[in-house]
Amino acid sequence: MNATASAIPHDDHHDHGGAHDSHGDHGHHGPVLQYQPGLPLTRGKLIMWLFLSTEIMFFAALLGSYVVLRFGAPVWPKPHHVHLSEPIGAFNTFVLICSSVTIVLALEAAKANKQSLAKLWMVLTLVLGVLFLGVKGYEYSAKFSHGIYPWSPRSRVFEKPDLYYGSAVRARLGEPEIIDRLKALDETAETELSAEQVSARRRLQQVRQMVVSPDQQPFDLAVIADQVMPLPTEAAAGEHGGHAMGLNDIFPWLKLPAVIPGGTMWASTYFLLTGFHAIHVLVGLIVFAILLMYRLGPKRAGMIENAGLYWHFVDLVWIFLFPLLYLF
Amino acid sequence: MSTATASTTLSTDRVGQSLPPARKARPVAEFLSTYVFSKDHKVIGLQFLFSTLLWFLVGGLLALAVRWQVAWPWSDVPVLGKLFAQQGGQMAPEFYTMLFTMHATVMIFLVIIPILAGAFGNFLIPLMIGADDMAFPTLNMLSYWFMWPAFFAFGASFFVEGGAASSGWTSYPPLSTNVASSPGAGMGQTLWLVGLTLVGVSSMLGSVNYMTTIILMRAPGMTMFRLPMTIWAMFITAILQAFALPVLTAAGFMQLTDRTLGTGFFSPEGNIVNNAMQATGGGQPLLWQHLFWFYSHPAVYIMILPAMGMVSDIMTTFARKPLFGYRPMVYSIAGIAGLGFIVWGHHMFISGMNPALGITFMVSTMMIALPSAVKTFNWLGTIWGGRIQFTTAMLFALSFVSMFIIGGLSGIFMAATPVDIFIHDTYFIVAHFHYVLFAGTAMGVWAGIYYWFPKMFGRTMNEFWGKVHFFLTFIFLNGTFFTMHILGAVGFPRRLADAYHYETFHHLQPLNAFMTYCAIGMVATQIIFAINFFWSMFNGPIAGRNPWNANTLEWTAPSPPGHGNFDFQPVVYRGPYEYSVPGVEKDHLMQTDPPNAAEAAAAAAAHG
Repeated sequence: MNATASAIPHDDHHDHGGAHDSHGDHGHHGPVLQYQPGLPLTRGKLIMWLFLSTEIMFFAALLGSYVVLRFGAPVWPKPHHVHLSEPIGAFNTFVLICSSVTIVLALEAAKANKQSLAKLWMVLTLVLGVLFLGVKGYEYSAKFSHGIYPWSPRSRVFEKPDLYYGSAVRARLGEPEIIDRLKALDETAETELSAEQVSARRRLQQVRQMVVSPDQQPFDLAVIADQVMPLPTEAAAGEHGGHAMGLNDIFPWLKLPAVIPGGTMWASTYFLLTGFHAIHVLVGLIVFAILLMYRLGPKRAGMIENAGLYWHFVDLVWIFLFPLLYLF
Repeated sequence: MSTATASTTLSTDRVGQSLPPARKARPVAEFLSTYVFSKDHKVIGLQFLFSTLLWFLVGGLLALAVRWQVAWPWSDVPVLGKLFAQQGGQMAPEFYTMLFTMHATVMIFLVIIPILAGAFGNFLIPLMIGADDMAFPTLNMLSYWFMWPAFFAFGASFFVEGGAASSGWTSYPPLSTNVASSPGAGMGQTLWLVGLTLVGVSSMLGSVNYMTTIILMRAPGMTMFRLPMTIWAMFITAILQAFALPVLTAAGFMQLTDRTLGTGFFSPEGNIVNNAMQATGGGQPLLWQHLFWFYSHPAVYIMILPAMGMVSDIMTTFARKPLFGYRPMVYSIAGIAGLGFIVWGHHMFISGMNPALGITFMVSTMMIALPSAVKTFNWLGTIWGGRIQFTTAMLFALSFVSMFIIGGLSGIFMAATPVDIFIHDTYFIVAHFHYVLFAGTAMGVWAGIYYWFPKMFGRTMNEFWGKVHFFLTFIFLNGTFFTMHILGAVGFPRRLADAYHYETFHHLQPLNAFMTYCAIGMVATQIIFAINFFWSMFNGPIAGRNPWNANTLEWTAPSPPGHGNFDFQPVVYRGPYEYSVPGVEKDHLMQTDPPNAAEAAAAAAAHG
């Protein structure tokens, strides 16, 4: 790359007709050309800024869609309805901010030619990024365990306790493995169960009664939904670390369909936004891993800076995502 | 003109030199790295040119099939009918829907956008600013090679079950998201979305590279306001692409997950199409329209601004006059691009919109007429009193301007909400965008091909057959597209496989038949172009460095330029349009011409 091309090869560079012949030593290559840059930036840095501006538009489209879908929806679940934990989200925000600091320290160390120190900060950035993804993965698995998936055949979330919901609960209770486990649960002596499980078993039996009863009322479906997974009020949210215990929580193998008004659209947008953010984090980590294979001296400062710019951008996206998804 | 003769002799030996010496040991590897996986912007530009011209043929044949059905509905399609063999060559309504969807898709995403930005942008940007290549050659190569998976996705979609996408090039949900809505809404639609995303990646890689190159790699003395209009247009087009396209990429991905994973971003609650209910709902179909047009309206300018830039350069060269109002031309391009971001709602006047918002979009749309008029009047000012040379390139450039006026004026009709409500989804709209895109951009592209062909291949194209190509194309295109205005004014609907089952349209069949004859003539005319193109590539007269006596930097380089483009350090002393300068013997002063005695004296006096 000729970013810092040095000299004009000929004094009389206007005479391009004659200049040609004296350049035989370059073969079919022309002379090293000199340029008049419009901005005091290297090519790498400029294209990184331009690339990031396209990324801003990409996330702007996603966030804009989120806002439109959320405020266009008749109901939207509270963070506790969908098992979002603010402390975990805040912790992850902190992790990402720390990683933005360490990448800057890596750049400073590389500029000062303290190569091993630069490596150390870079490794720390990598570790913090992995930690972020790990926490994200833990959060995802918590969603999955509650039946919240971004795609419909797997998802066990229903918008309202309607007849579709009722038949889904009945279908689940009719599955052979559930029948076996329910039978085993019924036959378990009361002494082997905790007080909580005993009361839950009683309520589960009531639910099973209601599901199969021929004179089922719409009201019953709401009761069933409340038993399977109660939606906590703001006041009750403090207990049980954010969400009230339903039948699904006490007997995790039960996996009954649950009702979360606005839950499917919430899941779609949540996984879309955090998923694309996680992909960007992953790409950043791959870049750091590649950088770690080089000597991180002043010669690599430009690359570290560009990777850092990208990393700050990824960080900044999360700064928007965290309040939008967790706090509002 | 001593420089011109000198450069002619030089360029002949450069032709030999520009080919790298063949190493006998690895001829295949040599061939691959030189012509296939080349990082040279000129080779990449030509790769884009040849690929897009091939797709141009595909898109043209699709258009002919559409025209056949409109002119003679349900009659057996000749030749091609055997290929899809439905009821003995007769096309099904959903097949017709697929035809116009894919005609638009191919023409927009695989022809117009890549031929302007990909072919001309790649070939011309480094040459016209005095750079040896793009800022990031490998990225540039990737931007071409990301087109190939897209070519495969779009191409393969014709052969999957149910056929290619058939929900219109706008891909509106729920037609596009509900798999049951049409045969093409299955695998074909999914491949369509994949292809679109890949085209988007290619454009994004290209556009950031173009911007970096233009900002950082201009020759000494080439200030921003000495750039030729082509480069200004490419620069602003790159900005449009970089900022508008990611929105479509995001939206396309959301539609893809709606279709494959079962999310419900764009599916309304309880939506039933073809007696099939969608599993997920709760989304907003209008959201897709907003996101789609947020990209696709700026894309309309991505499809015409580069042609405007090229035409400006071609017209000044052949009028032998400076461009009338260079700075207003630059500002008007920037104005069109800026306004282009805030007018997307005018595509949705009848989709359901707050009237206040509709008026906002109407007013901002009409404001685009101002910079467009500045451009048109400046083009007229440029040729006014010029010594016009009616070369083929100039004829195409002149027809670009005149056809753009027609397309632009019909655009003002539909910018007005009340008028648009009447003509929406009629052939009036079809007439409008074909005047802008075919009679406008395609004419600009041909002007560019005839004009820069000598730089691309070192030889000029045949002028006589070029003019035959021009006049036939010009007549046939007006025969095809002007009549569409008349059809639209009486309400003839677009996108219907057979509009004649409404009795009120029966009398329009002869008009439609006339248009189809013209369309067949128009496609047939392109055979002349194809033969001229390939014949001239090998047998045309040797061009020399500057066959048109033009001013801009690419004409100082050898034809075709070798690797690294310039065999000298270009230094720029003046703007690109100094033709017929009073008191100067030559009728043109190239950008590299140093100040003459009078200019030097004036400069010395000014600086005291």
